[in-house]
Amino acid sequence: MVVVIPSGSRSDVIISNNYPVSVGNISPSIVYNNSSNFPPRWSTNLNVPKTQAYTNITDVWPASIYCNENQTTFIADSYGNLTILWDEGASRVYVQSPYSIGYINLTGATSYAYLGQITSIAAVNLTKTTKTTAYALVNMLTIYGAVFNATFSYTYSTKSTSWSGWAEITKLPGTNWTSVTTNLNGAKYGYNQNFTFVNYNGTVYNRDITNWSSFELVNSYIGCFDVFSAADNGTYYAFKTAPTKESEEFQISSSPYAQVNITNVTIFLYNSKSQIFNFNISIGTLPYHGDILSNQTFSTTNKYKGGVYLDYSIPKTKLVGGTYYYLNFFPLESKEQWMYMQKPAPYLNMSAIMDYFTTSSGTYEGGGYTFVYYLFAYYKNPKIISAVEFYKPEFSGYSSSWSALAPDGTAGVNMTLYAISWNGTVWQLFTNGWHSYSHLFLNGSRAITLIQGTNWQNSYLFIANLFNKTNTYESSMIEYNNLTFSPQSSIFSYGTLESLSYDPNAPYIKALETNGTVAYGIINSWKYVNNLINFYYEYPTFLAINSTYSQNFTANASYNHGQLWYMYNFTLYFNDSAKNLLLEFAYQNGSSPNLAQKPAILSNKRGILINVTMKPNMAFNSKFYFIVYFQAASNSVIIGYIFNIRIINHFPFIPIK
Amino acid sequence: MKIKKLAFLSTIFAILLPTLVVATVVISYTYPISVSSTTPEIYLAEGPNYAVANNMGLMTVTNSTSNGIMSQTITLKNVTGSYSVQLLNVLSIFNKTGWDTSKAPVYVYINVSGLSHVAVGYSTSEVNWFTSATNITGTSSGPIHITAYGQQVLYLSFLLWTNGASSVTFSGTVTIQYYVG
Repeated sequence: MVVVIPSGSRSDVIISNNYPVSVGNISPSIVYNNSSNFPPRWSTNLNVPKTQAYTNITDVWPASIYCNENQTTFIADSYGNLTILWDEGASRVYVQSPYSIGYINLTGATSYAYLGQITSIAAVNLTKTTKTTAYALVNMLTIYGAVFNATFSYTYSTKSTSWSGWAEITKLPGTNWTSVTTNLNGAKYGYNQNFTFVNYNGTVYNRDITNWSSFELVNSYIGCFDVFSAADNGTYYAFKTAPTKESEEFQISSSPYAQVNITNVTIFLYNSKSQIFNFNISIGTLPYHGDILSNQTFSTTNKYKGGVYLDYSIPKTKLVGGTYYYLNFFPLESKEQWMYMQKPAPYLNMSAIMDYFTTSSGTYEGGGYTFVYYLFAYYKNPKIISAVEFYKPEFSGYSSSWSALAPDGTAGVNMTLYAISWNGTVWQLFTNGWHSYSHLFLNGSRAITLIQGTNWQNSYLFIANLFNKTNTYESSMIEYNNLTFSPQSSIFSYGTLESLSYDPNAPYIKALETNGTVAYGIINSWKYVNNLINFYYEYPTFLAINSTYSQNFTANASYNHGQLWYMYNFTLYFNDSAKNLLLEFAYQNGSSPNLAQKPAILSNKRGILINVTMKPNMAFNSKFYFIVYFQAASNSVIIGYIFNIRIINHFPFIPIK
Repeated sequence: MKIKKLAFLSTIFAILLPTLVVATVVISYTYPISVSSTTPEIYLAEGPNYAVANNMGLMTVTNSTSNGIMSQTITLKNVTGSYSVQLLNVLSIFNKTGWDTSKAPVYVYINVSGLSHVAVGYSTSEVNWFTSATNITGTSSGPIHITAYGQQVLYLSFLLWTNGASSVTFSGTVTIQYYVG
């Protein structure tokens, strides 16, 4: 004991006592219960002693739109609820999710089991050109690769409709299945029709109309050829790097190439300022190692602004077929700091030109393009988030693995698949994997469709960004392999874009916004329709908070809303177990949220229920923080708990936080 | 009071003198000192909300009597998974010296040492939120004046927090000094 006598005191008596204090732990005084009445779209760390309890709710939002060739538009939300529109939206039918009304599973039994979010929908018209009855085959793809199949028909004269009900018809391997598309207008021109399924890693399955039960593996390449330019000389191989040093893996195909000699490296650099570029290039068998080709230092003597190709000779470097190598790029110190680009995207592209190569049958010089296309087996995840399919005649030098007959019965028409990555890379599928055609240098690319002309030559790719007020892009005619893209006006000035589909009957493009608005029109001229689809999701009693004590408690909730503006509508209710409304927190787009702290009485019932209704506005994570204080009688004991509700309203393969 | 001091000094001299002085005559006086317990008039005791906290298993003091807590351990419990625990008005410091002006004024110093993630606060009236109490952040509070006839009670409250730790075990000391000036 230390007795401190205050200086200057006139103390006559001092009594000191020590009270050793021991602090330990006891069990929580509340229990979270999330077992009641909530669909399997959440994850949680409740009742785990961590920093903060949280509940992730994966929201439902309009996720995919598809127009078939018979004036029918299908809009699926991420839970599988379907809105079908025809007669230019004058007629509509709502079909509930297979998770709500049940579906026939792979064993033939009725099931309600949750097989993942619906990421994409597509439909083909089976009745071709008839106008008396439309008969469509609908496929919905889940993120886990399940495919729901159904048929829908309607009669024009009576406006009567029929719906077959949902059936699960396959489970594709892997996960992150992002897109299903069809060869639109295939029926119109008499080609085979098919559904094509694409996942994030570039795997492709095809379902041909002639054999509905068969799913053909079209592409199993995990990687891709990242061809910067597919010009006819075929000599550009691009590598996208981060703004700092980068090491990119590539592999020389083992057959037919036993050996490749590299003598040149072409790089593509980009910056928004006029600057000098300084860098090292090396090649090694390990990342950032130069054991095959030591550092080669290059510096531009002139300043460059924007994108520029720079071609440099390197010592002849032998690379062995079937071997993995790493092309390393090291930015050097520079006053200009040119590697740190802000916009449009912090990417660097590097290309290697192969001037000499050796095959197992002999040595060639000059790099004829026929072979160069297959020189690299460059494994890289294309990260495809949207795909569109079209048919066009086969070009020499490459083909796809499925084909269709032309109207005259001759072979040679290929189903051609295009796709888009989040970073703006545009891909086309070839038999040896994905080839990239262009880089938009713009993160946020969300959807791709194809504007069909009167024939395949004068058709154009169209790409839209997730973010509002962001340019769309239209390609040059797909007749040419070397596609270029030109910026066009944005579609939405608010919210975020989820999906695109070309309607060949209108003809115009339809775009789906996260809050359900549908835009339609041609490039740079858009009209908007609201309330086409009926969605407003309630999550009754997704969480109950129960006191473990016998004392009556009063709960006070204090809110801190995170990204509340991502939600068009968000309402949170606290109810007692008798469903009496105790506390309400409501936010409507544009209105101030009610942030008042109100008590929710736990007396006797000793529990509160949390209910939420929500409607997303933008595809982001919305966060809500709550501190709930449980107060015993007379404020003798107050125990505070933090728990967060995180609303996730975008697919996990979309790299936004 | 002065008599007691003299007795104390005399005892000291009685012990020291034989070692310091060579004397032919030693006169020795004996002053018996009687030590016994008396009912304290200034003491720490359970506060008005102690019973609830104790019932919830959040707080225990040992050797608590109607006349105060006799230098025994105070055990606090944090609640696993919680953000904070407030134990309000769970201890009281009483001054029952009454109108005897020779015992006034009474001051209290509260020292807190060795505690982590535990705050101690005092208030002259019951609080319903910890921040309404005066937080003792340093090694010593005060001086806090307690009158015998007006403000007779100081209330002590505790705030426990873990910053997310799933388990905490701390120990420390609260020293309370009372002095009559």
